[in-house]
Amino acid sequence: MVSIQENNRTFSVGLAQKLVEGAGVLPNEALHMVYPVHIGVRLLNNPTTGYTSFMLPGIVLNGLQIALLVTVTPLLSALCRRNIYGPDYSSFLLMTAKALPYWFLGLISYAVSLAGLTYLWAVPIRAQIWKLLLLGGFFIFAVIGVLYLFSAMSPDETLAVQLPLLYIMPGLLFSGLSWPLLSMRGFSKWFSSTMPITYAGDCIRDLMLAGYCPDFAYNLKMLLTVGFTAGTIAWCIFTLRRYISDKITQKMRYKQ
Amino acid sequence: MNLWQIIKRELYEIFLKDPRRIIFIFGAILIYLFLFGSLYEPGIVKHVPAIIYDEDQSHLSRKLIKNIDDSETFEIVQNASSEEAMLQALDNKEVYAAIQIPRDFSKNIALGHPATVLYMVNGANLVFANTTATAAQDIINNYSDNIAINYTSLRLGLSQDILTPKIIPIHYNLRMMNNPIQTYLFFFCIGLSMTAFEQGLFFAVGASVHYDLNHLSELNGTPIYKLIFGKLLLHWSLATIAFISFLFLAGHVWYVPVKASYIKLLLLNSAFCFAVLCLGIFIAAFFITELKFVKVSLVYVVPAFIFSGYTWPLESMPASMQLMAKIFFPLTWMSNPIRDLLLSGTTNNLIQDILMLLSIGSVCLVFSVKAFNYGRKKHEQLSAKANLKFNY
Repeated sequence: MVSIQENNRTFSVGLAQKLVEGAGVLPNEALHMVYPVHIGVRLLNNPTTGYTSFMLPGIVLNGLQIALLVTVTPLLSALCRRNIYGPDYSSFLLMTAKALPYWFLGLISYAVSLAGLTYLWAVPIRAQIWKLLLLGGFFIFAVIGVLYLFSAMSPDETLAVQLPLLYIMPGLLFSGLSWPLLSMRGFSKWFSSTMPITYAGDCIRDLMLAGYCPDFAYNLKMLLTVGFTAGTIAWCIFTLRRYISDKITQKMRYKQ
Repeated sequence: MNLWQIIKRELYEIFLKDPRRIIFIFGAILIYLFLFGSLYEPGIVKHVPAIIYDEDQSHLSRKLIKNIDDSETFEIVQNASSEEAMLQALDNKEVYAAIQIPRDFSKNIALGHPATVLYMVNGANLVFANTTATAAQDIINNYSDNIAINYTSLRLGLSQDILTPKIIPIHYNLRMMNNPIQTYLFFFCIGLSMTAFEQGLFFAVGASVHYDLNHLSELNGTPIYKLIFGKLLLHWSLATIAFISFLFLAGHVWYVPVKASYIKLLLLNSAFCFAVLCLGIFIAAFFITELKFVKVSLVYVVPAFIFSGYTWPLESMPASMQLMAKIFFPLTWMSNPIRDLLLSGTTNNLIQDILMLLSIGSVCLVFSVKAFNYGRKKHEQLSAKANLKFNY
């Protein structure tokens, strides 16, 4: 559409110039008469308006959270169902021990994806690497916290993986990465604010393309808050479920 | 079991024993319609915060600022006192667009020299960049035409009525077909709902397949083709009702136009549901647990949407990607045609789309019988092993 507008404009200005020249005006002067105000457009941070730079960083984060969804979500449900660990192991210990390998492997996978983005798809990395890794680390923490919550609430592992379909999957589009946050209203604005990717999607793109993210500290704080809040609620539910499960097991043993 | 008994059994499972299946069939498509309907409700990006740096501070520059402020696209939230302040506001994301009017703006116009207004936008978000750049260009071009008419009439001593057709010799009217206000709601909501529909059908039919594989004794030697036919018939019927509910809600709640006849829409949907259900049965039967199948289908859904050509056109993809999208993702034959049918009432090649979906479905159907047989044998082996362990 923009190119059609530009073509029409150029043609119209050229024709107007010729018509004004007919009134005895010199060509150059005629051009300035019919087209006195020009626009100079300067696109910051993505001068070629490339879709690769625009979308890929967010898609990487979305892929990462789907990978975590598939691997982390069944964990707590499985622990509740199987009841392998007795009351000697605290819920906090079990949750932390289970989460740490996924957090670490997630971070490695994120770092490899960043390398892929820049070396394979030529998306620039303008910020310092530690900032990107810090953001990735906090993002994975928040996603694990949220997924733990789904896991603790679900009666079985299959439902635990299916439930976040309505939360994690729309994340990319609710994150403000394409449709801007300031155009969201009411429910969608609130829904978006609960998602970890909202605090990481735009920020990772800013870090990569512009070299800075004005809300970097705020985003880290929000990722920490989301992860910690969801993780704490998950811990409460998980502890309660384990307690009930232990009681039932004790009763059964007593009966036998 | 005869066909009626199979259907009765499936109905009992879907509605009473495992009601999450009916939630998947109806819930996925309708909840996504609601979610994305509410997200894209504003339709287009408006009132983008902008900053103005007016170095000229003249009558002409103020007139231009008024034109910008009057437009729906921009909302001037700041007036910068220096170039640094303007760039700083852009950097801090206090604003997303900046307009700089140079010092000699009015002087250049008065002298008949070209005056350039600088427009800056953060290109990292292309939605902002594209929307605001088009609007800025329109505003400044209109402003330029008005200035040209006024000043040229003064210089040449001609009336504005005579000059106007010379300064603006060509008028072009833009006519946007099918989505005249270019709302994102119509553009995105339909395809995203179809993606969720596909996912919901996968989950529902996958749960059904795995229930049967885990309860083989209940099947009483029912032929597999009959069992699959029964499943297909029931799920397909429910999916059709879910699709009709989608059309109703999309039309009445989100005002998505339904321009094509219901026959065309239902024909396309029938072929789509057939392809998705057959593919779902085929893949589900291969996995030993429902959990594994669910994981794989979750990984499948995002590429299916992106490769379907719904946002990034299929023609712009490499040939190998196009081939993959056409063979492995039924959504490719559904997402664009359904949007075309709803918004314009017609699509390029409906018969081809339907035939392709039927072909994908038929191939998967043939293989799903084999896959189910394979799954049954695996489960029988596993239960035999478990029995052996238990006896030991």
